[in-house]
Amino acid sequence: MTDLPELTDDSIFAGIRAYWDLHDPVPEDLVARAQGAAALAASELYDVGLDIELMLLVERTEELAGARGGSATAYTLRFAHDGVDLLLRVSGEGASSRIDGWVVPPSPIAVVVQRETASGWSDAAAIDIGDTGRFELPELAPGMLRLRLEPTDGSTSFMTPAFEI
Amino acid sequence: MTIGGAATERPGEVWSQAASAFERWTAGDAVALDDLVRVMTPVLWHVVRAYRLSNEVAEDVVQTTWLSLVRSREAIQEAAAVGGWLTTTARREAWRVARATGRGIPVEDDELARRLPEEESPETEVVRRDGEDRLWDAVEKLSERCQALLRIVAFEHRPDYSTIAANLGMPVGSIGPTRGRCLSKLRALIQARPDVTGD
Repeated sequence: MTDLPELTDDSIFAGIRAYWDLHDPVPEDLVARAQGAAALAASELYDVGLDIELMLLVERTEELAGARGGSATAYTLRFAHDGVDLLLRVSGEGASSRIDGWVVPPSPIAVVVQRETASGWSDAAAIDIGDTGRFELPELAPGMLRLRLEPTDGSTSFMTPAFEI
Repeated sequence: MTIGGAATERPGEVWSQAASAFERWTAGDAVALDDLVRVMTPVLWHVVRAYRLSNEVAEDVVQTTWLSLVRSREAIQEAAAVGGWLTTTARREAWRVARATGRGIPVEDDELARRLPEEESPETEVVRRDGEDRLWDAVEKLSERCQALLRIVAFEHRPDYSTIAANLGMPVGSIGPTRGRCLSKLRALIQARPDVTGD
């Protein structure tokens, strides 16, 4: 039996940190992806100034609950900013995906789909949505997307963070 | 190999590196944002995972926290406050998402199965040291609630007990005593455990 180390709070907390660092380590690429997302958000702020506001992901729900470690066939994302909610249901359709979207409250708004390409973000589609607040984007190839919501009354646009389909 | 990495550094040092990076970033050094993210992401990961979120959801919460920071940077007037701002934002977000997705918050000790002993990799063997061995065994014997609370407290710097209390579904007044109880229990487990395996 070896001598016990001195059990100060500090040494215990250091041990707890080491424990979790080994048993539930930070995913390998999380830092890189967080750096990318933060830099992108920052560059958007610099580039477009106050003309655009970032929506926050406030909820993510997978529809195949209990499939631990497995991939869900559909999930719902809810983004929000300043009283506007954007709900996206992303579901698989063979090799491609579809998105069913709702803007709440419904208002005349254009939804611009942007896709990440090797040379940056480019507009892939634009849809005007009306009184129902609903829109659909069928047959989307896998990749990183983000949506920009442009109110037709010319008020400030919103952009979602990037998400993967 | 070392146990180290940003996550195991003392929170005070991590917090001051974060403050310095934030200061440089707000002064116009765009690269400093990378430093800030690199220094604080491991802390955010551990704090968020204490809420029993899946890997994927926990990663989303960490990313959302960074987007919030970029959007809210003007709201943070003291660079020294950035570490606390980030962990508080991450905990609130983790709590909200955990509730929305119906993933449990560790509340009832009884319902929580103890961790089963894990098969150890050679790497684990190398990393483990005498005292740590016993400390880690003791951590595994704690209730999940104590594990979660001590994990958060260990990675935080001067934790704000009132928000942790609300987050973990404990009465505010009980968090200090609960922390104390969890720590005492951990100490007792470390001391009491006979070295039965004889290694």
